[in-house]
Amino acid sequence: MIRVNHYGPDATRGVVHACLAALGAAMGEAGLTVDLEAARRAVTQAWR
Amino acid sequence: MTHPFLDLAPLSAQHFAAIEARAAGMLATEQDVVIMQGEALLPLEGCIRGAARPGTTALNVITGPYGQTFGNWLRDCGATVVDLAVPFHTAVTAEQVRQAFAEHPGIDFVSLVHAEAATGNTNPVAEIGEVVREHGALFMLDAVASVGAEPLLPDAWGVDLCVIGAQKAMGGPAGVSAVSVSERAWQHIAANPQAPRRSYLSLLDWKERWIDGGRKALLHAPAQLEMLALEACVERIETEGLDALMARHATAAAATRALALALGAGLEPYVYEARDAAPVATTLRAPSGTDASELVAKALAADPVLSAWSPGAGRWPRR
Repeated sequence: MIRVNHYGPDATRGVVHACLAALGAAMGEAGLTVDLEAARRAVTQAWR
Repeated sequence: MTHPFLDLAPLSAQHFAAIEARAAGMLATEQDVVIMQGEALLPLEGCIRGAARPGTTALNVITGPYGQTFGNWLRDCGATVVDLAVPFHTAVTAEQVRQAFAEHPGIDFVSLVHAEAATGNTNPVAEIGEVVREHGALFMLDAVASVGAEPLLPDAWGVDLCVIGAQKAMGGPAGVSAVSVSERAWQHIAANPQAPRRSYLSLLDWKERWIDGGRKALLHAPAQLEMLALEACVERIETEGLDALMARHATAAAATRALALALGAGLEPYVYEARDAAPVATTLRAPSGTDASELVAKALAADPVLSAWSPGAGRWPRR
């Protein structure tokens, strides 16, 4: 399991984007196919 | 050599009381609020040891690791404990609580964790509170991971003992905590010969010597650094606004869930239903065939808000 601690000063769009970048890169490195652009759009959409 | 953390002037009782009053604003309560000089486990244990004794029948709701701790304390006090455990990727329902009362009519104490930072779920306290009230039981709520992240209304929900800590959504110190205590909870604890007295765990000491004394004299030297940090943290929340703070958490949670699903490769929220997901933290299921710890180890170097845990190994992250 993976836990994302987005609380207090970390409950921000920037932190969620950073998490996306870090997790996406780690998954890619592990040989998984990830859709970073779709994930980025989903985060942006949620923040509207 | 000077340092901003050192050589602090003593914290007066008046200043302590002012910080206490501002922190009480987080709870929107008319009940007494006491700031305890330790992490939230201090008032949580103080509540249980104050309220429970042989003859108590406690419904202990387990939706994450803290429920297990509460059950152990309750048993240690001699209470008969009815454990109501649900899978940690879900929330307990009011109907399940109602069923527990039907099966065990002697239940007179209920312990519940509002939001579980470790497992990422949150429970419908308002609905559960209605059921508890119908049966007249004393209701204790651990709201450490929910305060500031989602609505928390102990008076409206019939919560008798509501414990908060500042180290999650409030962005404050972990070394002090607070508890709101209803009048009937005070009466219940005062009538318990087993309740801690003249003890660091004692809520009654704070009632008798601090609250009833007009908040004029503190029981002991306060943790001044933590109290000042709490004051600063509450001030920051007052500036931002509690509603804005909660909205920020709700959006972060929704965005993280959306991120996981859109990223693909089988990554998905651990808590399936969005209504059961806590705004404070989001737990994710790693894609099958991958090791969450390895993924997180790679990602952690770039992003310290991630953590990994393994329920199978019995290792739970603490808050």
